[in-house]
Amino acid sequence: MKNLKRFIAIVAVLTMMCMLLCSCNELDDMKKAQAFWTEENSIDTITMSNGDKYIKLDKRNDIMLDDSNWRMITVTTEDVPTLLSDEFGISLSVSDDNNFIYGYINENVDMIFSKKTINGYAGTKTGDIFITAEDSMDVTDEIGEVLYCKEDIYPEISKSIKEGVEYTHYGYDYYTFDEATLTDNVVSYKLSDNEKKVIDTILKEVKPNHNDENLYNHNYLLTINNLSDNEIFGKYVCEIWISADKSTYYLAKYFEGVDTYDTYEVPDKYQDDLEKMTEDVVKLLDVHHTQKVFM
Amino acid sequence: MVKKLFKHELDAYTRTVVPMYLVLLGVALIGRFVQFFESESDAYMILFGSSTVVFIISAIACVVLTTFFCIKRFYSNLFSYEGYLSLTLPVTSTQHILVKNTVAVLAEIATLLMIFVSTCVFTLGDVCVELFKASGYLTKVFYQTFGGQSTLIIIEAIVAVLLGVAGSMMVFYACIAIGQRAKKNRVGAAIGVYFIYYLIYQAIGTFFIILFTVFYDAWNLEQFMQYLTNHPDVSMHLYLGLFTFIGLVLYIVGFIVTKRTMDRKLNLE
Repeated sequence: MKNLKRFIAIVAVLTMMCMLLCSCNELDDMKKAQAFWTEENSIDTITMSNGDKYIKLDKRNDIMLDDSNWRMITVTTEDVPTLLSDEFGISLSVSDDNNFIYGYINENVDMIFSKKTINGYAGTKTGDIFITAEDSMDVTDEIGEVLYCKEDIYPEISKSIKEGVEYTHYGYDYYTFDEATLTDNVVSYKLSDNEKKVIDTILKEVKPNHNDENLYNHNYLLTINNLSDNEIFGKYVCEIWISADKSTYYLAKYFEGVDTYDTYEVPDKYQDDLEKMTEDVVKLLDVHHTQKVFM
Repeated sequence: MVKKLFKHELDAYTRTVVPMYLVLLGVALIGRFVQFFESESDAYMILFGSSTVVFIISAIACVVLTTFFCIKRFYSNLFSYEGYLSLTLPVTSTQHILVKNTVAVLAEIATLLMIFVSTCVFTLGDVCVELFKASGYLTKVFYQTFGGQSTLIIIEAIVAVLLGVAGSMMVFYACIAIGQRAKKNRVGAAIGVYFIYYLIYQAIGTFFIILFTVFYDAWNLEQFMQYLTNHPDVSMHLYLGLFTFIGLVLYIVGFIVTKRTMDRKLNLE
């Protein structure tokens, strides 16, 4: 009886010890999604849970950010426990290729790292502030777009931003939907020199239709960007639209400040080129509406 | 004699609540054991979900049963046939009431501690460690927010909670004491008295809310509320003070009603 009791006690202790070693998948996911401000009182660098470092870019310039499949992370100071990271951290997004972190934060560092009373209101580590109504405008002015890039590509990116970017080719991205995994996949297409020449010729030679409201009777297909060799930098060139009966192609240039389009009806001699260029995207029109990919 | 009464009360409670605690611990252990087999499968999610729900229900049931047992113990020991024995002891009615109330409060505290231990068992491992880290961090934030007033606020909170529990228990005792005056169905009468007390309590609360809303502008209450928002330490003292006061009032009123009934209007079965 004594030996049996001793045996039961040993089994119980071993089981409890095993329980201590067991982790929880959800907690592990939360830990992976938590990142840290590398230096105290500075938002210039972020360190991910796997040790990767990201450095803040002063300017975004024309960096293309593929907005598909971004995942969220929460950035906190090192002393914040994982379970409280949502409460005491700032949510940012990490690109699918893990090269960039992007988001909006209150860039008043005092707000992020300390509790201080400033001009009649108190800041907290989250950047949430208890403010009086009169101060609210001052606070919202501080919120800005931030972009971080991975440490290993930072020299290349900052050099390009400083010295200028060489744009080498045109390209576009579009979504395909994977029914097996229920995720969107981004497919990239690089235009050949000839296709680039066709686009440039149409934009140069065809008379645009300014502020064309008829455009919305057609279907949007894709956006063409002028890309750098590494495809990190890109400038908007134009969009390709197709008529509802899929007989005519249009190029469209969007003007952000006035929220209008100039449209260029593609001449017949170039319709075949456009058809070849956009073959795969047009097929998707029947499946789902294409969406603009770059941001 | 009071010491012996105290000991006897504790023994009675131990006989009832300890098995309940063991069941709660058992449920926590089973729940933790289920997590050994963690996976993405539907079967595991259903099992884990079920074990969590069972654990939460068990914890709530522990609190409810403890409260129920406290009230039942008071009634059966002083107002049923057991009262013939209890009230012959060389102990005053004040001592009876205070001992029962004190042991009831201790039982509620023990139940809450047991729920805490069971939760630690249920989350044993990384999750438990993270929970403790989170508690430690929140304590740090609390001390940063309230500075030197933190210790005083903690003491005030403990007093408010203890008085709140004791006051609630005294209200139950008072309802039982009034209810036992009925010739038939004393338990039903006690429940009826409790409902009347609850209605009056809600009515008083609603009255003050209406008063607050109607005179919000006239009494410049917006400035006062703004002041409280900008001074969390003052508002915390105010809220805790209010709860302490309400608990104290309920405790005193409940005690007086119970004692007077036991001294002058006792009507044993």
